[in-house]
Amino acid sequence: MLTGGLAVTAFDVARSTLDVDITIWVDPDQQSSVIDLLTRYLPAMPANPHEFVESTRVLPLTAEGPVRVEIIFGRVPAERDAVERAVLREIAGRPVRVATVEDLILMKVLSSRPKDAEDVRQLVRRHRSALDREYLDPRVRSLSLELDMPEIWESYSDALMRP
Amino acid sequence: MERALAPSLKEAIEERLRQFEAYNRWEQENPVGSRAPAELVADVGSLFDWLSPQTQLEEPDPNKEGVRKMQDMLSVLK
Repeated sequence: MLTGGLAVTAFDVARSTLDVDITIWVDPDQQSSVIDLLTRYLPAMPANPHEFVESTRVLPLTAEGPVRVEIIFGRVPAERDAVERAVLREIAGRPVRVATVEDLILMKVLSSRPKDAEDVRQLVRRHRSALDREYLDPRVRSLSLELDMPEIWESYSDALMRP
Repeated sequence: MERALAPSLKEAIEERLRQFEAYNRWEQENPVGSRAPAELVADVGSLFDWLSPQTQLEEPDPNKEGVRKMQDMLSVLK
């Protein structure tokens, strides 16, 4: 499924980005063969893609352009759920599976990068009335409490409070 | 809904965050290669087409870093 800046744009938030982020869910015993398959079509940037994915869970590939394509290998259940819940959006005339707005927010509230915080604010602003708060609120609160990171809930609440 | 996460899940998320940070560090050391100005303008045009007509009419927020960079780059065309 599409995630990252392009997914944010797909949900009607103007956002520049320099790469294509795709999150996939792969059984651990298939990870190696998936990496081999992907690198057969697009060159991997790291010299040892298998080792790199083990340490970062990301496989950066170079597509024509050059455009960087980042394949994110999900590991935690929330990522598996997000892949399963992904919705079809028509992009450039083609159906593309995109993470839901709620799952995009859930992934981005964990990040400490300012641009991810801005994405959360913009997604909330744009989709405030349609946001599935029953799904999102308890998950953000739970992450914040269990990771002992109050700033997660605070920044999410701040986004909700903004006009 | 606020039940505690199992410790193993908490550890998995913390490990996941460390992996993201490791990737972010690598990304900063290996920035995306530059593209030709014409390609960049075409990219922006394509992304613009993704937006709804209502959003397309909104003024860009000058406080956003990407908007500032774009305005700086476009200023050379004046």
